[in-house]
Amino acid sequence: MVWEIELALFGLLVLSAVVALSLRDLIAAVAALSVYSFMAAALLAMMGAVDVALTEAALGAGITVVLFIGAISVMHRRSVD
Amino acid sequence: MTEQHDSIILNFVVRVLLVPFIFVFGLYVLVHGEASPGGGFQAGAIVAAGLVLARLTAGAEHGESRLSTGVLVWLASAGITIYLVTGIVPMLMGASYLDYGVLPLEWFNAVAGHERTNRAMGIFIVEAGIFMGVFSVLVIMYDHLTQRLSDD
Repeated sequence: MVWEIELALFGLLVLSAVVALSLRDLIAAVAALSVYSFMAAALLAMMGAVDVALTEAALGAGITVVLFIGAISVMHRRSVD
Repeated sequence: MTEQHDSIILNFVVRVLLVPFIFVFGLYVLVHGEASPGGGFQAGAIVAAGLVLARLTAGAEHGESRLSTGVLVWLASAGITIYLVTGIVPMLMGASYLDYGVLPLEWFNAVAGHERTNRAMGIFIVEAGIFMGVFSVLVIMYDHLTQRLSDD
């Protein structure tokens, strides 16, 4: 569609993925992962795959974040590697 | 994550503004799934997200009082059963698996008030089954996680 917007979304996608990998605080990493999912959903919607974008937005940016935070709250909040 | 929040703003925004809108939008995605983007899986994910949001604000014990995990297990099983029955009944009538065209669904045109083909109705029944299954299983996953949290 508009290639500038698509390029900016791709940039944010890669940036949020790198941020999610490099963060030590797992809750913050989950927040970055949520941004990643939302950018992926926006890109999929721009490429015409609205079906996949709906699923990605509801599951990736919605429910998996809640499930990840629930899983993190039963273990250590900071990664130790 | 499992405690109840008493904030009026949070309760109003979630219970009055967000959750009803999410549920109606999910049902819209479900019933328009054959003609436009959407379908059972997407609608199930959206409605499950709305219900998880309601449970996050209501807390563990209040959230599960309306729709308990046991009821959700029954709903998930019913969804899978609807899918399987819709698939197998055409096989018993001599067609192939999930061939909706032979299903006896003409009576539904009178109920709906307008003309819909057997095929569209069969797809809708399958989508409703998928919707029930996906929605229930996603909320069951959340319930099990928070059950473990409130037990500790």
